Amino acid sequence: MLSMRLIMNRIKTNKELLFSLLPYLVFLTGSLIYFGFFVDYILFYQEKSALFISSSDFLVENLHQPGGLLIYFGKFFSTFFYYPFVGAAIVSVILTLTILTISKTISFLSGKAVVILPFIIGAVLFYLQSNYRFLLFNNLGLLLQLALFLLSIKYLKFLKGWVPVLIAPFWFFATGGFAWIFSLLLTFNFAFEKSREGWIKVILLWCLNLIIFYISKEFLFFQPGKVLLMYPFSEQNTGSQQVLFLAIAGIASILPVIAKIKFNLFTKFKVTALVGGLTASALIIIALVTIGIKQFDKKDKQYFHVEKLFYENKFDEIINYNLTNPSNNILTIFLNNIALCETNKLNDLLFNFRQSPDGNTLFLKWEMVSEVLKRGGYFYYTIGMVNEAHRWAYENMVMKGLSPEGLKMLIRTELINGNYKMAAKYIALLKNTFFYKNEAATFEKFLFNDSKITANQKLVEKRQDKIKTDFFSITDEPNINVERSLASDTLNKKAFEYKMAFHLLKKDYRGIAALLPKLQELGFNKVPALLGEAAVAYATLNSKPLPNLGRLSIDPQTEPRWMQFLQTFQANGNNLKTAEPALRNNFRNTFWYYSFYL
Amino acid sequence: MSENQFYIKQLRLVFIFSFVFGCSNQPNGKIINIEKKAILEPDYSEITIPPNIAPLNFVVKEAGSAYFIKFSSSTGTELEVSSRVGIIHIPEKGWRKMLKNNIGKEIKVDIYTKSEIGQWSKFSTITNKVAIETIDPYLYYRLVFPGYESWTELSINRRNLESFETKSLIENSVVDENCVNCHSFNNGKTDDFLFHMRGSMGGTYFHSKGEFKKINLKTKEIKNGAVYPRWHPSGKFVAFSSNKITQRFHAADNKKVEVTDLESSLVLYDVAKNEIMDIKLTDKDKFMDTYPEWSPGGKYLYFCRAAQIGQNYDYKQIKYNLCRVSFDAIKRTFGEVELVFDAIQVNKSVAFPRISPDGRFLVITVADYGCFPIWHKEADLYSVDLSNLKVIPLDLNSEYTESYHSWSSNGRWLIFSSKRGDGLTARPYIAYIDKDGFSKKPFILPQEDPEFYQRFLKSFNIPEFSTIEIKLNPGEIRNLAKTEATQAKWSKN
Repeated sequence: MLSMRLIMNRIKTNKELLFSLLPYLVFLTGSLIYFGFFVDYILFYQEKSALFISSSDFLVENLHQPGGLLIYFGKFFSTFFYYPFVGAAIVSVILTLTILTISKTISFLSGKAVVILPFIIGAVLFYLQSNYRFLLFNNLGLLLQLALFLLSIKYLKFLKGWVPVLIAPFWFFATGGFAWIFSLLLTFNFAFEKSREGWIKVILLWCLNLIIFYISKEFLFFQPGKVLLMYPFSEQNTGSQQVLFLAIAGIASILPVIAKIKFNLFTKFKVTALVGGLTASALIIIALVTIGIKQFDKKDKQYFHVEKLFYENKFDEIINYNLTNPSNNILTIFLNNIALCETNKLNDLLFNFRQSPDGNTLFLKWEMVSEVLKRGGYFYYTIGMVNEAHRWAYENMVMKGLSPEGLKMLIRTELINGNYKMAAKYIALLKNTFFYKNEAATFEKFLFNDSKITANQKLVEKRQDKIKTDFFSITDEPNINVERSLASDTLNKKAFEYKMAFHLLKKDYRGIAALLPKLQELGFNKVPALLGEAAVAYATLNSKPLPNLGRLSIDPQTEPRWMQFLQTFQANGNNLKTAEPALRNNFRNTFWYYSFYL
Repeated sequence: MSENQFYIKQLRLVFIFSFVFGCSNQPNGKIINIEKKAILEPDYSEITIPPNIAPLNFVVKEAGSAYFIKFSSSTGTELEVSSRVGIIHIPEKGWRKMLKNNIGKEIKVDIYTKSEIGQWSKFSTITNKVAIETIDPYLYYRLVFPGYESWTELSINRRNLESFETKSLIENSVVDENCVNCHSFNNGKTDDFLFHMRGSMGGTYFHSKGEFKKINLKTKEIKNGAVYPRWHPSGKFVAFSSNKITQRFHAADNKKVEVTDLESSLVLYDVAKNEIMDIKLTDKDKFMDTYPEWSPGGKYLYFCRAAQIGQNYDYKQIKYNLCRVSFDAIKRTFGEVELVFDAIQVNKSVAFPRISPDGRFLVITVADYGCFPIWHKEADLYSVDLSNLKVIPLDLNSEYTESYHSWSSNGRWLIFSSKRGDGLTARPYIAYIDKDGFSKKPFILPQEDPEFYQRFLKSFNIPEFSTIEIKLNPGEIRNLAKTEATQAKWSKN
């Protein structure tokens, strides 16, 4: 009978434990699903923005200032974002552990179970993390402070609780500006001891902090005080959410104070573990769904999906995706235009996508600080300006550090240029990564081996397409680079396609008509649709014959369609506004429609 | 003792015996002689080395399961080093002792490798010579990504050449990522030191006699900023070139960047009076003058001169000659321009004139055109014998860029930047220059980790020898950077 009661009690305790853990499991699962399936682009962006190298050099590089170790571990965990679900698990575990740690800390200090505040903080951190520019190390840094504090008050009690005081200054070296959270937590905790020893600990803690800070500034790292105080926290790395993150860090820093506040509101309601657990879980689901919907950015998701396909060289998939998911994002269209050019469709499908009339969707102007630097070089790579593509990748590496795709571009361009010794250095770096070893091994086969490169279709094509005659690149006006490429290599088909695309954007009928005779010489099998449309319109409007196209011909449907276009226009009283809906319905992707209305 | 324990003990003895003798890291048994020299990375074979240089650690680039290196001299074996993977770390203490014992003598390096089946082989002996003359104990250089426009993690460092100790003097991370460049020492008195900082904390930072100050050399009378500096041996003056520079990027050429001066002239800064003035040369407006260099006595100022270009110019036709003018330090006046080396006549262009401390030899960088040979693969170092103005290419050149160079205070060592390693990153190479001005085979600055250069992506920029350890740290520079620069005064003479 007694043992039966014991068993029943145990079952009851286990059930209570399960129900009390239920909110955490719900949060973990919700976060996992959200980051793993809905906003995996966040993980993609962060994984592609930095590269973790497993070498002692890389570790040393990251130890150049307090907080560097935190960045190092941030990069380490972010490298696993290569697999979105693993990334989602890492993000979700960090968030859930933060909530759990806050809950345990308050419970330990107040002797009461607390659920609401930790989950509010967790929800805000979830909100912050759902911005793709909010880097993982922020939440990791916060978790480490809270975890060390909990460890300190629960377990590091030997030496009469002096151990955390002695740890704090060294903790600053590891986690930089985040360490002030730990010191503040200790301070409030000691203050509530209300003993002489507690105040001595506070004074000693801040004296040690001050000494370490001074030593760091004047003898070890020499950085300005503000940098030492804050690093690695920054506006940029929080996705411009620094105020909210600082507010959360502030709340986390005063947990011992919060633990002393008596909240009577909920204590009146006596609920069972089951009801409590289920209610909390339901609220968490509502909160996560609400935040998730608010923070979900379809435009970002689309862009990063396109970028992912782009890095995988899935050009046809990019085009199809953008056809079914039209985008107004300049970078999306920029990558799409490269995909069109790589598949010889630029002058057929250019106006199936929303183009920028100033050419900004065709080529990006040089920018040192923004995301442009990371991507702009791909256009040059496509048209055979390999040196220029290399320069963009190199400058990006200097400005922002190593990234997987940037490093691969450096390797490819060095291999194409035959600079094998430099390529070998970059390949050695790529070999020391977790998930790009195989690609590094593939690249390695090309080193000092021209015949292997010749046997590789992609590299040999790029070697052949590489411009041969030198000129000075003008990165502020990329269309001039296209002109210069063609002036030095008249058979550069991809540069020609871009040139024609720019003429199309500029509605330069005459320029297009004048260049059409070159199509055959450049190896075109047919007249691209949009060029045919421009030529037909030019010939009709100027009562001139079509240019000599050699053995090529304009699609026979072009002329009747042009007539149909004109007739629709005339049927609407030659009124641009009135004719627009009808013309849009039938001709929205034509050069004619673009020329009339955009 | 039980039977089992006895056998275990026997087994242990057999194991220890086999470990000590069977897996020996020292050559034993019949040794096969290989009639070639082992490939070393870095190549430290057949070189002349200073008696006070840090250990020349290297990697043996030959297959093997064990490596054994024996350093010996006429007095017998000096040092033995073994390795499982071919990475040879020479003990510093033993190395120093060996060099000390063999000043002016030869050191033989015997390299042995063991094959997978345990067969030892010996490569042909390498003979290196220890020079009598020491090298200056310090090297100052800038570490920079050999990029195009941007800079991050830029620093000026000091390396103790007698050990591997390295310290950074200046890091741009402490001064808002401002660019720091053109550090320069007074060759005759190396505690005079300056560098430029560009950006929000811009100015020229002078360190002299323990005093550290920030000067704004740009006055309204100077059209372009002061760029390439050289200290007068007295320490009282610094000659600068004042250049208007343009940078462009090659689309196809392997040169990558083309740096061209559109205008340049020479200016003189009087350190004590804080005055800056034009260096008045006859017909100076017709020329672009740059890269000043003082003769050891300070009586002559050498520089590079090209015809002033117009608006439409062909950058490949800009070529610089080597010239000089006399200088009167009391009156602060200059004489007539004399042509020292007519490079244009041989269709070349010169840059970076540097005179040996004894004043006999002047080493220049010679390229096909222009004044910025760092990106020119064809750039080589040439020596001008100032006693007869005979110009010869130095034997230390490679098929890649050799550019910036600096003499040691005793004139027997030349350090220079070379891109021979990978074509992109500049590395400091050291060469012995004999009394007749001929160079020996150069060797790369040794590093504690001999594989360092294979991984390191930055360039060693403007390597400068120095005899003193400048007592500066980035914190002092950070503090000075925050202050207002003292404005230099313009003087007509």
